[in-house]
Amino acid sequence: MKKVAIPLFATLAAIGVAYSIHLIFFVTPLQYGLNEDGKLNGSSLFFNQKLFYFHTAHAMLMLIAAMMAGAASIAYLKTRDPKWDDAASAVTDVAVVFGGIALLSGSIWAEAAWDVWWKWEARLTMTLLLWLLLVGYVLVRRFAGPSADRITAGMAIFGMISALFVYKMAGQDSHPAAGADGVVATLGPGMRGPFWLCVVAVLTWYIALVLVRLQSTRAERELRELRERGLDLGVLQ
Amino acid sequence: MTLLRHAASIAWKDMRIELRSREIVYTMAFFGALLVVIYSFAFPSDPRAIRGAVPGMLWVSIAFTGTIGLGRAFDRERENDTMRALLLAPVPRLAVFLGKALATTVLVLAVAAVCAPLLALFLSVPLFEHPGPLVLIIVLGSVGFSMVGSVFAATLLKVRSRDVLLPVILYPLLVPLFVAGTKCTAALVAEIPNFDAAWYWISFLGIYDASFLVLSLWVFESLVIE
Amino acid sequence: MTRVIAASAPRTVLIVLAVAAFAASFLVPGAAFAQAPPAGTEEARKACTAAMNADPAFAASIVKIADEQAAAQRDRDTVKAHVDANHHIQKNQRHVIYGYAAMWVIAAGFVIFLWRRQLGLKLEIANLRRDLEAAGEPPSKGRT
Repeated sequence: MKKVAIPLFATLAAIGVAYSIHLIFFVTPLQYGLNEDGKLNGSSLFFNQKLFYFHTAHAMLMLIAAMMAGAASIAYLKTRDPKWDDAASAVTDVAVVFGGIALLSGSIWAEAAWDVWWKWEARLTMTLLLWLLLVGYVLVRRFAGPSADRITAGMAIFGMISALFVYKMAGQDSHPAAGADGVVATLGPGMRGPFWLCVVAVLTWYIALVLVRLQSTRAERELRELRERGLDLGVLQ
Repeated sequence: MTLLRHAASIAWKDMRIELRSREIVYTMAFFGALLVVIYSFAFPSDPRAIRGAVPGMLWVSIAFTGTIGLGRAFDRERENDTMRALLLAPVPRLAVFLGKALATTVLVLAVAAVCAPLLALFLSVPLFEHPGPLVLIIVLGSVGFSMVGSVFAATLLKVRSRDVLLPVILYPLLVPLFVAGTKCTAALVAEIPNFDAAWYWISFLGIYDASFLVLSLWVFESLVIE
Repeated sequence: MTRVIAASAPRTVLIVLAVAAFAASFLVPGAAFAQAPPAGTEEARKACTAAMNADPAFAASIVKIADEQAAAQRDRDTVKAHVDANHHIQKNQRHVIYGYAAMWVIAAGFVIFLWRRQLGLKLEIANLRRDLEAAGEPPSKGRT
């Protein structure tokens, strides 16, 4: 099972992504919206049909990954089992990449729709701060030496609570195309299916990436242990 | 209650050392004063713009001087290798954490007591028109900063690049604290002070401090094992 | 009698013409010809409305000119709206492509990063294992 997991998930992800792109570009309806001046509403034009699916999917996965990292960190501090630490580290790495993708694609969307690259409104602020926390996690992991696992576990747990407060502080949600129930409720009938398919496809892609990253984390751990054995034996110095 | 008593004695030990040399508090206070002078040059002298910028200046000063003070306070422990002695002492580990947090709070408050009047003086902003809420928010902010900072400064004790990693870890976690502090101060300093907003942010910061106190007490033992 | 009228015919014609012009000046609508044009727009509007109410032909010509101008403006507006929308759509399309390109670049970059790190790690582990075996340690069970 172990051997086949990564290729399996990668293939599933590739199929899922290819099929969602086909659906996005050829099947989902174009949603035109007019704002008050009678002009075409920028964010509802091509973006709702094309960029929106992947952008939102990646942002959702970043949030899920952050919560998984927090849970894994709690498990690690309680049990001191290294596999939880590996899991937290792998999940956070992938979360940083997905968050970067969501922020970058959202920024490009913003430039086309609002003519600014960035806006300090609720959801954007929260996502940026959470992303900065995750980037800090990766940096500390890299540069803090042998006690990095404990420090980063603490960061993940504190970060989860801090994210709650950031949510409270960010206030009313003024994200574009977000109705009172969030975006998904406002999706047109032809869009909801492809949206969830896209989320599932990105989820399988996420799992594939996490598994690959886990491999290299375990390899790093094995390398450290081998080095210690070598030091003990005097083979290295 | 013995926990608090132990914490108080640890804090008092730090205070006594500090009172003898006054090294940290002098350098921190001077650094804070220099920051205020730099702000006077760095920002345009339009009085309305200054009034809007002063809350940010105050809290940025607290952030920077607090980080330096935290680093110095724990460096002292590391240089003399007294951290191990503290952890081996027959006091609960949490008392060590609380004592350190308390000592750092006093240091940060001392620096804030220097920076805030200087800001009001150099930039001629009526910062102390409503001293009650202002003092309250500064105290709450210092307590929160010192708590979270002490947890991570203690875990970073033996790490090589701890000087730069401490801000990297602390600042994203403390963003709600700084936002609450600046927004409350801004509400107090505005032309027409908005007391509703000020008390909202004060209660927000109180809840933040309480939550992180509980979290720190829960997590500190697992994080600092050596 | 006819000799008197015929002798004074030019004079009579002149007199008749003068009387007719004088009478017509009352009939022709508007003090527009008889008086100086008024100074402000409010007075102009009132004068124009009065003139249009008095002479239907004049009113019809004014309305025709207004309609033509409005139609021309509508045409210009429509053209501008179409040009704007086209520009909008092209900008959107470009940005969609940029967005997808950014996502793929980052994803591909991450995969390449993972790949290279994995290769490097495998190499180092193999080297270390070899060194340890050479030193006489029993080989450990690998997990990769």
